Amino acid sequence: MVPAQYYLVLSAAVFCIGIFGLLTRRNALLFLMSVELMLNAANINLVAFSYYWGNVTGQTFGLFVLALAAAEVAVGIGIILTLYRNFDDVDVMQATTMRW
Amino acid sequence: MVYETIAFALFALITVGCSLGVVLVRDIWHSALLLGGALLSVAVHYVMLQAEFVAAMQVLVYVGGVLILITFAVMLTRINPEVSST
Repeated sequence: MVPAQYYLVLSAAVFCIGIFGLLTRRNALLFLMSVELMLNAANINLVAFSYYWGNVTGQTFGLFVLALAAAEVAVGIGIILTLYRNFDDVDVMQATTMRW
Repeated sequence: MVYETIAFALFALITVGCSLGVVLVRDIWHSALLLGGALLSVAVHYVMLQAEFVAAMQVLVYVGGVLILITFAVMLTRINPEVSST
């Protein structure tokens, strides 16, 4: 079996890529995709630990994370479409209505 | 043993490469397609970790649902690519 550290390194790499995308891009849709990448990194960790401990607790948590990601994308796409309708753009730097 | 390591390295390379493509490609539509590739290779990792149900749910929910929703958002908010990029 592949050592657990490999999966942890892979998960950390994907998580760092997600944070990089969140911090450098200004497109709101890229924000959504970067959050998806970070949730996938957490899911890799959960399933890998579930395999190495030999029970299904991690897989159950992974399924909950998956359902939460789907719900979060549905809500986020509603917010992004409202943003586009009000500002004619999906640039997060343009929407400054709630900034005081 | 060594085949598992080779398969893990190959699909880890695909996962990290597609993830880097998601955050680095200028066009939002191409990055949505690369996100689909990354999610599918993560599903392959789940199969290698003997979590077949989670892998099936990954393919069904992420690639079948989340990616379709992101595709709708991309098509509904089509704007000039050089304006939207960083």
